[in-house]
Amino acid sequence: MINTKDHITREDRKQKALKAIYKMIEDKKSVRLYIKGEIDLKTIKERGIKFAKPI
Amino acid sequence: MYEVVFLENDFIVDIENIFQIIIDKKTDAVEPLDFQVFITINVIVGVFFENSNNALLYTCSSEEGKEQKRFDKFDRWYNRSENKKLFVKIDSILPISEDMMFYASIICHNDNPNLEEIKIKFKEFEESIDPDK
Repeated sequence: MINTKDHITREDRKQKALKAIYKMIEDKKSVRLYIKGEIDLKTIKERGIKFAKPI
Repeated sequence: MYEVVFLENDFIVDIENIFQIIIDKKTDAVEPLDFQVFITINVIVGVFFENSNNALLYTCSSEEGKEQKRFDKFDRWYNRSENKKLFVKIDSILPISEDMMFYASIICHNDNPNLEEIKIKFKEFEESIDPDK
């Protein structure tokens, strides 16, 4: 018997993880365009990408 | 010429000091051998880990279908680094669609107080995509 609740939770977790991965992929594409000078910092910020300065 | 950028991490959200690193050429010009690049990245990573609480996440772009080659190159750089013994590297290769794999690694200092938690979170993340991991 399928435990529907558990199945949904697992599927939800998977979709959430996939969403995070796709966001990382898209963010990275945007940053690569920024590095190549094809988009500006304003566009980066509009896409919700946050540069960091590790200390 | 290459540029290095750090991003705030959206991958493991509950732990601080995890940064995504992105390294890319500023132009599409063909570059000579990558030894100088390795030396530069090695210095940057060394400075980054002066704070042992920091953790470094990198993913490999699938543009031109070269994600595996990029993953292998990072692995070579990591294995070549004289500081390797100070770090733990956790690799992850995940199927995210029928024809696409996602390559990611996270590098932590051995003294990182969050090391065990990062390992657990990373594993949980993997398992949410691929329960067989």
